[in-house]
Formats: sequence, structure tokens, C-alpha cells
Amino acid sequence: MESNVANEKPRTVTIEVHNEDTGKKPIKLEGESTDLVQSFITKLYDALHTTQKPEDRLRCGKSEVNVFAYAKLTIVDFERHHCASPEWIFAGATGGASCCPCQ
Amino acid sequence: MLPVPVKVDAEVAAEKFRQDLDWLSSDRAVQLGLRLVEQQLMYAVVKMKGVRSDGVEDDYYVRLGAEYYDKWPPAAAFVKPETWELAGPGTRWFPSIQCQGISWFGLHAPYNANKVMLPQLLCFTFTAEYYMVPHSPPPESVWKQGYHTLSATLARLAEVLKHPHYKGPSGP
Repeated sequence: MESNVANEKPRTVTIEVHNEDTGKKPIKLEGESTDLVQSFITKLYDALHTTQKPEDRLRCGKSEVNVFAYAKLTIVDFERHHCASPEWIFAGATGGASCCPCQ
Repeated sequence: MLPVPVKVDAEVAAEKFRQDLDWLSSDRAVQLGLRLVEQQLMYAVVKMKGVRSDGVEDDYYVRLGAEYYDKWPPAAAFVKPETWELAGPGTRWFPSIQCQGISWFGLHAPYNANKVMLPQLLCFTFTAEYYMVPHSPPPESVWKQGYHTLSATLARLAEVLKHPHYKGPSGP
């Protein structure tokens, strides 16, 4: 599914990340269209001043595609084939119902 | 074991609560279908949508309490419209939620176990009531004062009030 972007002129891609844990102003991530999704993820964690935890979730737009699953793609391929939304939603770990399982 | 919530200074709690309720006017809160319908110093009521698998939407009202905020999360409960009294199980204003593929949410009315009785328990780490029941959640999922806000509570509730978790009202 990955496309060859070598012949395309790189452009700037801006992603806004809503942090549902804090509700603060969205975090703006900028990079080139040839950058990997992972580089945007790294920039996000730099902005959050933390490291990725196993239960963290990063979803793209209304489709809620799991961004982490496509970390190795370029952002342009991710936009073309999986989710074109410039808005991502971050949520850290949530604990809960292991002692009182969901009804 | 985590410490049980203790009421905090009401003036401080009310001010922090008021500030954080501003999130409800953000684009993200609007996307989630959240609307502030009542705001008082120490509590607020938020209208939320339950969205069934066939797209049918049902309104719900969640009362958030500031008594422990933000040392702990807001108290949270489903309530009836207008009176804001607690909604009972098996009624129109109490949702039926069956989690699919997530293990972090439970909904109980009443909750009566571990020597604790609560009329309602929205069982996840972003409600005050969760910490009134003995739990040992992973450290990274515990409410962190100064980081988490009531947006975490409401966004998670909006998530479980959608397909595939949300089934409809629990009664007529």
C-alpha cells in the first residue's frame, strides 16, 4: 500500500492533537510529508514531557484509526491510505473495572 | 492501596472546577456531543449522547461534583433531567453499557462490596467514587492532580456511551 513519495515535493504537514486527559489547548505537530508517523509520535511525547506507555491510545479523526499501528509509514502514506484527518486524539492509560467487571 | 478521597477546600475546588469546565466550550467537547446544562459552584450537569449501533441517539445527564476536585477526580453519576436526582438502574436515564474490548469501565447501581456501599459507581480511575472502593490500578492510570482534568472523565464517558459499548437505556 505504501506509495513512492520520492518524486513528490515535500510539503509541511500539521497535525493537531487533542489531549483528552488534560483538556488543554491542542498540541500542534509539524513535519514534512516524507517524515514517518513515528517522528510525529516522538514530537508528541516531547511536548507531553513523557514517554509512551503500553496503554496509551492515539486515534486519528472520526475513524479513530490507531496511529501507533502505522508508526513506520510516512505521514503522507498514512493520510492517503488510513486516515486523512489532521486531528488526532491522545488518551493515556485508564484503569478501572478489573475488580468490578463491566456489566 | 490508594488513599480514600477527602473533601478539599471548597473555595479552591470551586475555582479549579469552574476553570476546567471551560473545556466544554472547546471544539473537542462539541465533537463529543457534550453540553453544559447546569453550573453551580460545587457541581455541574453535562448532557451527553448515547449512540446505539443503528445510530439512534439517547440523551443522558451526568452530574459532576467538585467536593474532592482536583486532588481527586470529580464525583460522577447519571442523573434524571431537571431534578438532577440519581438515576436508578432499569430506568430511561440510566444506560446499559456492555464493554467490548476494553476492561477499564464498569457501571454499578448500587455498588455493595468490599465493605463499601454506593448508590452508583462509575468504575474507572477518573471518578472520585472509584477511589472510595479498594482498588490497585496500574500507577500510570491513576488520576494525577495538575495533569488530569474533568475532560478525562467526560471523554471516557463519551467513549463508553457509543457503539459498540452502549446498548440503549436500561429501562423505559
